[in-house]
Amino acid sequence: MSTKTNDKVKCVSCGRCLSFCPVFLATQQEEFSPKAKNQLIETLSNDNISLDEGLVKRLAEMCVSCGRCSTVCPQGLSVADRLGTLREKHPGWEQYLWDLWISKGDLFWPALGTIGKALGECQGKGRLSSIRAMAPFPKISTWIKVLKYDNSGQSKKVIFFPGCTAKRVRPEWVRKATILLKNLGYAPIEQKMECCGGTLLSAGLSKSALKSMRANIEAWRGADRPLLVSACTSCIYNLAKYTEYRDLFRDSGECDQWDSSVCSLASLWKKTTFDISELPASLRWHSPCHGSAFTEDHDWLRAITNGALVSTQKPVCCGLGGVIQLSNHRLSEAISEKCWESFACEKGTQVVTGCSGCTIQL
Amino acid sequence: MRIILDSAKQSKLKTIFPEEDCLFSPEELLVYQTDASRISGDVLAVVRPTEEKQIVQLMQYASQQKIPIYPRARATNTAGGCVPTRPGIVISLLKMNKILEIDSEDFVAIVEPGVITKDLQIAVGKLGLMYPPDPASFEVSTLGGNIATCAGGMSAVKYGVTRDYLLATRVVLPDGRIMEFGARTHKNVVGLDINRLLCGSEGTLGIIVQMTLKLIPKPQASASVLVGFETLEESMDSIRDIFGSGMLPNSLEFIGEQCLNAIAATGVTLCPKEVKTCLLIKLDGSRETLPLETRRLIDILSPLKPILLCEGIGAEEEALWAIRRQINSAAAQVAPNKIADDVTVPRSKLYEALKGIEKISTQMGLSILTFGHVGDGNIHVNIMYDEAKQNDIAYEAKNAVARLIISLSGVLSGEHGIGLSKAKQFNMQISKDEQTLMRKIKAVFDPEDILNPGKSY
Repeated sequence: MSTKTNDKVKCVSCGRCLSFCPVFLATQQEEFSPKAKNQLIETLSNDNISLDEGLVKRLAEMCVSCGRCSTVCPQGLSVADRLGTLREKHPGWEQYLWDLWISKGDLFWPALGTIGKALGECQGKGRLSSIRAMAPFPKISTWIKVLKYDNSGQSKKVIFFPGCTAKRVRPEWVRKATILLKNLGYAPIEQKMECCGGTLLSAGLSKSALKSMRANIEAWRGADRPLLVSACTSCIYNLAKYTEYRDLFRDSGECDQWDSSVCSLASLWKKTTFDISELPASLRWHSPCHGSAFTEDHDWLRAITNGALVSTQKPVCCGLGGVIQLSNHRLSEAISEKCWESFACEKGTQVVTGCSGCTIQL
Repeated sequence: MRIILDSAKQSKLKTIFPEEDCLFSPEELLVYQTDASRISGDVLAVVRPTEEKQIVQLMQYASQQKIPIYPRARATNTAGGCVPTRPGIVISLLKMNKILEIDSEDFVAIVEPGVITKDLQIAVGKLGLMYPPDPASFEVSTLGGNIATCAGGMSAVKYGVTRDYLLATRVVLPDGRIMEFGARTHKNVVGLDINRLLCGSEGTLGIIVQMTLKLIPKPQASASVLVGFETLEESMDSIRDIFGSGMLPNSLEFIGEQCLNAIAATGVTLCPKEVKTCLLIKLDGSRETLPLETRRLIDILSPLKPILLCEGIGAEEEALWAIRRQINSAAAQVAPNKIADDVTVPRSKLYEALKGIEKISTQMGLSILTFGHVGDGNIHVNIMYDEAKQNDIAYEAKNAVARLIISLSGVLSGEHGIGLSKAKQFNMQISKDEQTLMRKIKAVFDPEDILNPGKSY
C-alpha cells in the first residue's frame, strides 16, 4: 500500500496501528501511538487550536520510523513520512537535532555518525569527531562454511555498498564481503559510497539525504554502472527507492539500470554449497522493518538450513530507527527488550538478521 | 476556552499515579478525547493504573468530588463508548494487561482487562483450548472492551458472544468498593446474574479489574468456502438451505454488491464481475470429518448454480478470507466519512433488510456498504458520505435504516453498543418504562452518575 502525506487524508482512529507500533507496544501509552501522532499533526495544521510546540515535538519524536503502522492503516497514512515532513518544515529542527547530538553523542549508534556529519555540514562547524568505537561482538563461532563456490560471476565488476554500520564500525564485514564476491567470480571495485539516505530522510534531513543519494549514483555511474551489492536489507530497500526520485538520474534508461543493478549479496550465492553440520541448537530470524519485501537473505538461509531458521509470528522492531536513539535511548532499549522476548530464545539459540543496523541494536 | 482540572485535583491524582501515568497537558490528552467513532469530548486528565488499589483510590476520590470517569483501553469502539460526555478523567487500563491463569482442567482463563483478545486466543490455543469470541478487531481490541460491549464476531453464529464466556468478574464500583460476581464454575444459578448485566453495559456500572472466562476445546481443523451469486435472492436462499440441512458453520459472512464493487476498486480480483453478492463460510471440526462436511456444504450450494465456488482447507483458507479483510480499506476509498452501524435482524428477515437498505441507498444517493455476520442476522451497514456536503442526508439515511430494522423486529446494535452515536435512536427501540428501569439499575451501582455517564441508556 502506498503511504500518504497528503494533508487531506485524516486518521480515522480505528486503532489498527496500535498492534504494530513498537513504541506503543513497549510503553502501553496511547499518547505515543501512531494514531495520537496523526491527530497531533492534524491538529497542528488547524490554526484555531494552539498546542505547545515543544511538547508536540517531544511526542512526535517517539517514533522509530519503522513504517509498520503504514502497512495496516486503512487510510494508508505513514507517521514516519508525516513526521519527516513535519521536521523538515520546522525551522528549528536542525538546531534541535544538533543539540541532541551534542548532548548524547556518546551513544553507541552508527547512524549517529551519519547524522552528525550531516548536521556538521548544516551548521558549518565542520565534521564532528567520529563516534566511539563500538565494543566487539561476543565470539560467535562460524557454523556456515562454504563447501564449493558457484564462481559464475564472469569477472563482472561489482561495487560493494557497505552501509553506515559496516563502513564506520564493522570494517571486517566489508573485508569478508569483498573476499566472498571474489570467490563468487566477481571483480569488486573500490568506490567511495555515502549513506543510503534512509536514516537522513527519516531524521528530516532531506537535503543531506539527497546529497548522499546523488553522490552514490555518481560513484556508480563513474564505475560504468556495475552491480551494486549490499549485505544490508535496509540499505537495499533505500537504494531501491532511489528510482522514486527520477530527477536524480540522467534518463529513464539509467533509472531502470539502477533498479536492476541493486542486489543483495545473498542473491549471488546461486549454486554455492555449504556445510552446516555445526548448526546452533535453534535459529531465529529477525525480520528488519525496512525491506520486508527483500527476503533473499532469509530465503537463502532457510533453504540451506533445511527450514531450521524460524521467524517470529509477528515481526517486532529492534528499536533502532528514527531519531529515538537520540531523543529517548531508554525507550529504544525497551523496544529492543520486547523484540528479544518475541524470539523466545532457549539455550544455544542464535538470532540472525539481514540488516546491519538491527544487528548492532540487537 | 479549555477547561482544566484545578491544581488541588491534579495534586491528588499525582499522589495515586506516577508522573508518566498521570497526564494533564492538552497535547497528551488529545488522543483520549475520541475513539473510533471520531466523536470528541473534553478530557481533564488521563490516569493509567497498574494495580487495583490505584483504581479504588481514584474512584473513592472521584465519587467524593463527583468527577466523571471514563474507562478506556485501545478505544476501538465505533459508537463513541469511550468519549467523555462531560469533562472528566480518562482511566486507561492498558497497563493492566496480564493473563493471570489458564487452567486446562477447569477450562477457564483469568485475565486483566487490558489483555488483547488475540493474545489470549494464542495463549489458550497452545494448550489445545479456544476462547471463541472474535470481533473483527480481535487483533487490536482488549478483553475489557469486548466485555463492555459484549463483543460478538464471526464465530458467534456457532459459539455465541462474549457474554456466553464470562463466568466471573472482579469489579471496582464507582464508590471504590471491590465486588466479585459469578464463579469459576461453568454453571451457576445462585442469585441474579450480575455478570451478564455487566457484559454489554458499556462501562457504566463498574470497572472490571479481573475476569474469569470460559474456554472450550479447540477444534482440530477448519475449512472455508467462498461462494458468489448473481443475485441477493440466491445468497439468501443458500443461507436458508445451509441451516435447513442441519449444518451450523463456525462463520457465515456476507458481502453485498456495493461492498464488492469497493473491494474490486482496490484491485483485489478474487470475484468475477458478475458476482453481486458473496458468502464466506467457515466450518470447523475434526481432521477426519471436516473434508466430509465441506463436501456436504458444497453439495448444498451447487444446485443454486453459483458463479463462484472455491474451497480451502488450512493455509489455503487465508486466500479466501483476504476479500473480507479488504473491506475496511476499500470503504475508506469510497468516501471520506462513514457511519458504521451493526444492526441485527431475525435471520428470516435478512432479505427484506438488505433490500430495504439498498432502496434507502438509492433514495438518498449515498453508497451504503453492507456486509457482516449474516449467520446470526448481524449486518454491518457503512453509510459512506462526505461530511462537508452530505452530513444531513447521511444521518437521515441512518435513521431510515434504523426504522426499517426495527419494523422487521430487529435491533439497533448487535455488537458495537449504543454509546453516543446511536443514543438518539435509542427511543425507537427501548420504551420509556424500560429506560427508567435501566437508569434505576445504574443508580444502584453508581448513585452519583460518574462512571461513563450519558452512554447507552
